[in-house]
Amino acid sequence: MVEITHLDSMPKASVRAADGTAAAAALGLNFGSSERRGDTLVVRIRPDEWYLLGDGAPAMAASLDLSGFASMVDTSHSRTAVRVTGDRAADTLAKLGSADFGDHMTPNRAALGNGIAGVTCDIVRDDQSGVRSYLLLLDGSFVTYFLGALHDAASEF
Amino acid sequence: MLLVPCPHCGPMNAGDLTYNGESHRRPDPKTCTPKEWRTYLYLRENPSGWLLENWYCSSGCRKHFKIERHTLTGELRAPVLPGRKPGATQGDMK
Amino acid sequence: MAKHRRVDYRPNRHRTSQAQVDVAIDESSGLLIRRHGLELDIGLGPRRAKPVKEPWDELKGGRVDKTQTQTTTGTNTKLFRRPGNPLRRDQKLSCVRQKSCAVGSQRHSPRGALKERKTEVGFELPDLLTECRLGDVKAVGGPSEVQFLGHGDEGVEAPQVRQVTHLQIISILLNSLLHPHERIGQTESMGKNKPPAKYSAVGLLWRGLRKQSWPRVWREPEFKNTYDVVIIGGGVHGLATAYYLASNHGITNVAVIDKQYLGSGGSGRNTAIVRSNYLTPEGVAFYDRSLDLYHSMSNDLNLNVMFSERGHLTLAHTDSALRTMNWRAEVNKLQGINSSVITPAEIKKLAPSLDVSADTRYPILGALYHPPGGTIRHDAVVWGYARSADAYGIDLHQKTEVLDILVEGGSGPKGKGPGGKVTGVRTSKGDIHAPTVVNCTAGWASQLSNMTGVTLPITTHPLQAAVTEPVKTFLPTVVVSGSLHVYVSQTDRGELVFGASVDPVATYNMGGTLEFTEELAGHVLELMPGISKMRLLRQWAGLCDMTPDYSPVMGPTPVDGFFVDVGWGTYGFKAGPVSGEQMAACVANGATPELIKPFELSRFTEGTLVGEKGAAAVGH
Ligand SMILES: Cc1cc2nc3c(=O)[nH]c(=O)nc-3n(C[C@H](O)[C@H](O)[C@H](O)COP(=O)(O)OP(=O)(O)OC[C@H]3O[C@@H](n4cnc5c(N)ncnc54)[C@H](O)[C@@H]3O)c2cc1C
Ligand SMILES: [Zn+2]
Repeated sequence: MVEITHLDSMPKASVRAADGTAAAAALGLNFGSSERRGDTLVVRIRPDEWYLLGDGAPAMAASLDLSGFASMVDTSHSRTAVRVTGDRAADTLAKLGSADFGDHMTPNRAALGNGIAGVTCDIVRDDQSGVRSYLLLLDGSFVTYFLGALHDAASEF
Repeated sequence: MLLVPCPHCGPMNAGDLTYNGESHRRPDPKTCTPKEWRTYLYLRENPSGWLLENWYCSSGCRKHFKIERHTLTGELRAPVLPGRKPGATQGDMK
Repeated sequence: MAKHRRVDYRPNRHRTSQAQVDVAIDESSGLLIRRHGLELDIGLGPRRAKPVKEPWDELKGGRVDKTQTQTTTGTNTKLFRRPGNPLRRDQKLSCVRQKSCAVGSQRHSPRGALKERKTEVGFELPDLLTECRLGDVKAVGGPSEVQFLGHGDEGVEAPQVRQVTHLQIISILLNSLLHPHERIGQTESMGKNKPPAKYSAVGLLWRGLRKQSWPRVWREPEFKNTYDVVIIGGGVHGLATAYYLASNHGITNVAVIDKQYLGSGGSGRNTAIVRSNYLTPEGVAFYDRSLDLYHSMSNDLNLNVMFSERGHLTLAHTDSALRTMNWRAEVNKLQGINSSVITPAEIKKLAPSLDVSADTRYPILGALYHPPGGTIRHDAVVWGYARSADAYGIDLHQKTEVLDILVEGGSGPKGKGPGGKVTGVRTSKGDIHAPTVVNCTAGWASQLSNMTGVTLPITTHPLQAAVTEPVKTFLPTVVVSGSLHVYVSQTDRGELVFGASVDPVATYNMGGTLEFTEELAGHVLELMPGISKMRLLRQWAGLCDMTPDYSPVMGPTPVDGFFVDVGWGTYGFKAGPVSGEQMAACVANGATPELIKPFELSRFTEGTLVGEKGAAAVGH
């Protein structure tokens, strides 16, 4: 079973912060991992970039100290999110990209960037009450194609 | 299939990266002549052997990095960059 | 509160069910792919992968397998798999590729050395291909966006396979009856400064009746130490240059040197598309002259080069591509080239197998149609020039590698570089003194030029192509789609020949890749969903010398006596005759002819590039 959900208007913010800035210290985390803080999912997606996702994102972004070499952009409307949940979620993604979605490589809370069906995606493993689930963030303009590609891949099992 | 080790992400499928070709020192655009600038833009050694190259981790960490690749055999090795000891291993590439 | 929208699955439109491929792993003995009862050994560990076949292995065995359409070369691909991560029995073929990469490994084992991760799994692609149908190997998902190639899409053609009339056949027969002495395969004139003996119908009959075998077509000459001109590279460019030096300028003390066999480079590997609907006036004039020469080539060289003027269609899938098509059509018309933009309905008439419906992912909006374009038998062109050049007394040295080019008085190290003068070449068989050296080595051009201290604006990328099993003729034109990175034509024997754009990473390695096959299958099925049950026969690659502006580099260099005819990228086959003619004039007269002036090396330092990317990135 695979369930594909388009999270059309999930609030999203991208924070870029250099080492040693207040924002970087506040957000923390290791590169490639994520953490749920209240109703915000905080993801360190790149060495110097964090995503704040979910309903609490605007509040958390507003509370950040952006002094020094740090900046915040609201990407709610330029990026979109798709959630793929189910016991075959990893197999579905595996068909479309080259990353290893096995538990030993990308356990729950892992985050990585990779091409999925030719679209550059940021991927967060975010299991939903014990069921394997991936949150994919991509450029909003590709989403129609992207959902089609996911369907095709999922319906081939 | 080429696996290129990104210093941040680990081995990446070359298709997930952007290849930026031979690594050259860019002349200072303020002082160089048009001829020097065009030489930098267009002319290439294009050897059949070890080559220092620029790669961009476009679908991973979005960082640029350099690596040495053998253009005939496809082998890769950590580059010798200014200020770094020759023979540095993959793990030192950060 | 975020809105959630659930999207229902819908049955997919074109895709057939996945390949019935069973992948199993046995850590001790290797990886087995079981398919239709057939086992492929993907050796791992103790049982090694089958040895990688090199293109010249065939030659070493004394056997060159030349088929009508393409030279088969050793094609192989390598997959990588991380150890300790066995593929599961129920995984499908596409997952094999997926296993090849370990993104994110760094995060969990930050100092992981690459070596450990790179267990090699190699298998021979041809076996895999012959067992899989296009629909099975196609990649899941295509390009995420229409890649914008310079100005858009690529080149076109039309269906007029020229018919030989009965009258023509009678006149050929009569002609050969009147000149019976010009029998096929006569050897007396070999190397004697006159045109070669003629192949004729009567000669063929005569030989057939007497069961005579065929003599060698060109000599294996003695190695000499002095020549007037040394041409490096025995492809169509080198051989044509040699031929025109002799036939147009009477210069016959010439050697053509190739490190392998004649036509072993791009000339024996290309997909043989010829056309002249380029984008710049310089390009159009040049390629059109080449088409002219191709028209009379079978007669001039007395060898049937099987020129099929079937027309060339360049599809436009986007507004910008269509705009480029219109632009090209106007440039072409102004120069008297038959080229126009046609509608999807007209395309459907020309090539009924194309899916021109509006609900595809990349709907076909129109096409540039170029009736004079077509295909030609590339090996015959090489052999025709070789045979004629040989008859003029030109020495063709095969299996002779140029190791160094001797230069004196240059400003660089060891007397090389600008200002120097060429004195000869050092080869694997000895030194040759020659005041003039012409570099016609395409993919290897930079290596040879670097030997003189001249740096070229060239990078070497492999271009891959593939061919299917033969089927009844159904595709009358050459079809090119720049947006989908694919072009296709059907040979006289019924095989579909596919090509794409060059691999993005520069390399001198001519191995094939699985990515290419997958993407090719995916893209070609977008154009022609009907062929998903066809099987691929083989896949191969050749080296292409890419320039920044997709135009060649021709003429003299800063080293006196050193000429180049390189930078032919993915489009040099069609230019062979005209390049040979112009380079011969350039070498003989010591002045660059008007037609190739725009392509001189100096344009890169003067900033006068001839941008043909919009018409040559996929079109060839
Ligand atoms: C798959 C593919 C498809 C193509 N499709 C088309 C097409 O449809 N239309 C088109 O117009 N063009 C096409 N091309 C491009 C075309 O094939 C080439 O541009 C053209 O063949 C170049 O010819 P050439 O004579 O310059 O070089 P080549 O035929 O490549 O010959 C170069 C020769 O130099 C020799 N050599 C190299 N180094 C040395 C050395 N050190 N010493 C001695 N000899 C050496 C090599 O052995 C080789 O034989 C295609 C190319 C490929 C690979
Ligand atoms: Zn990276």
